[in-house]
Amino acid sequence: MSMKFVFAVVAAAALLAFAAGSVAQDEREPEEPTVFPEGEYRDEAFYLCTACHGSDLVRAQGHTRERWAEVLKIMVDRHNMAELEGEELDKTLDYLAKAFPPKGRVYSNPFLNRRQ
Amino acid sequence: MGMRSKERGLFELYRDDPERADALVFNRRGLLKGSALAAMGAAVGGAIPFSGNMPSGYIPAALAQGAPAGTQPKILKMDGKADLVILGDKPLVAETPEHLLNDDVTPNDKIFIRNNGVAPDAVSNPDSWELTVDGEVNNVLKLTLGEMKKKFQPVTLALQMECGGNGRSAFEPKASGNQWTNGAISNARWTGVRLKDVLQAAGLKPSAVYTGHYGTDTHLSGDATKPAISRGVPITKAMEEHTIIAYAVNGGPIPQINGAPLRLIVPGWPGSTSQKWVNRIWVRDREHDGQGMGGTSYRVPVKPMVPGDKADPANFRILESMPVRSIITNVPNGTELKAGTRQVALRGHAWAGENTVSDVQVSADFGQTWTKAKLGKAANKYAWQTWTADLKLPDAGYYELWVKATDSNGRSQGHAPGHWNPQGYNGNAMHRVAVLVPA
Ligand code: HEC
Repeated sequence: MSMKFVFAVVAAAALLAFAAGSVAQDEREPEEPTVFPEGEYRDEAFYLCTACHGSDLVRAQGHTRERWAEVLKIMVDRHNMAELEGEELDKTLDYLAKAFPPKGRVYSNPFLNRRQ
Repeated sequence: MGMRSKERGLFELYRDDPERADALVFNRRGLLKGSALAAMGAAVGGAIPFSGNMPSGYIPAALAQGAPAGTQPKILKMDGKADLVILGDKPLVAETPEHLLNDDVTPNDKIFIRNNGVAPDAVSNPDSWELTVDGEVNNVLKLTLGEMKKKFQPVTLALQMECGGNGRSAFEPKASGNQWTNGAISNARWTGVRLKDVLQAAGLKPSAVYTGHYGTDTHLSGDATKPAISRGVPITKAMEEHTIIAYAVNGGPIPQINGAPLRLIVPGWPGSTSQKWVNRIWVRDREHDGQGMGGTSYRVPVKPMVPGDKADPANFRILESMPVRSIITNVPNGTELKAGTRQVALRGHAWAGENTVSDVQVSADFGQTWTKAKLGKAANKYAWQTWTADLKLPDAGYYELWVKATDSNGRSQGHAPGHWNPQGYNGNAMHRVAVLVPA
């Protein structure tokens, strides 16, 4: 896609038009493995999982090891990801399950920190 | 049991360990206790006048929406688009926050963006765009957009177009895919020709039972032989009066990222059936089996499954009509109202896939009492409906404005999305907006 877009990183409050401060970037920077949490096999998992799509698609999820295995199966069966085997598969799943475990709701409070 | 507020604040506690937070905050009767109530009030930034009605285990909307703690929403900056919230940048996926959806007819800059693959470049001569209709037809058609405009009667309709995964973020445990709140919906005025007229011109064989749609976007893996997405609909839906092949929206060209120069609009059904950059409609003699048709994609369980459990694809059916949903569009979540405000005028929209909306109700007291909204009619079938309502706020403090709609089959919206499924379809929890009336 040749269409270029830029995004601004805006504090949650800015969404509500009380902009705190926004850092506009010229263009999307290539992602680095450090966008993934630290852990054994992080770099390998990062490069594997961002070959086709951005890291957000992975980071937005929180799954058990079993459900990560199902996600990987979809990547292989439907989306042309090369099948992982043996240690490579184990380590990838270990990493994903540890780095992106099931999460409860995550909260951000629009009123908190707005006063004082 | 007292709040261990020294250990960590309620906000952090809710963020890190909601179950423990609930255990600490709520007593056995499910009512907020004095000191805990004050703490929760502090966490949301004001007293909670209707705290007596707050259900046990309830997480205030002010805490439950928006970007995950520690992360910040990324705002799209793209020519021709409003400040949509980016859910993913490769493929580009961006939703329109509820408060940007206040228009009765969604303008082009507020039409959400959902890509499954790599979007094609704009074409220089849209009228030479070619559409092929083949498969179970008597005459294979190859029509340019220019010919199509001349040959078939144009129609203009306001039509809902909604991503199948809208509302997914409310599922627990988390469902896989883009974490939409309610922003994968638009109600623009599309102009095009009826798919029915084109299929009739091709002449359907008796064996025609389903369509398979193809576009010019490419799969993310770079495999040129693999479509990014290729879904379809039963012939009856394809022959429906309101299913159109659109070449214009709101009186002008379709934004490139939304499928110019030609796309399908299959209103009331998951947006993935409304193929963007459409160049082929393959009429099938069986259910289409293209990319995105099998497994648990765009499918929902027949028998309810245990949330988080392994899915048995044999228990799944294709998601057809989208569920009923309503949103408040004139008051953004997190609005601080003027001091002394005792009444708030609300407005928003409601829609229900194939069905119509028969009732909309709003509450400012955590659902203890409900007020019937004034509900407008749809501009035409498959357009959303606009509602208005006034709610009283008895005192200063923190309130949540809730809205729920009921469809023409009597189905309403729950507090949490039901029918968990691994890819998170049909999530239509009530929309909640937190507001604060300063003391
Ligand atoms: C060969 C290409 C490719 C690779 C490699 C790949 N993916 Fe995907 N992935 C895709 C495509 C294509 C989609 C669907 C995108 C869409 O429709 O929006 C997808 C979607 C997803 C989704 C969303 C699930 C859903 O139901 O839409 C998740 C989660 C995901 N990928 C995780 C991963 C992880 C984790 C890895 C690394 C182990 C990975 N992917 C590697 C191609 C790939």
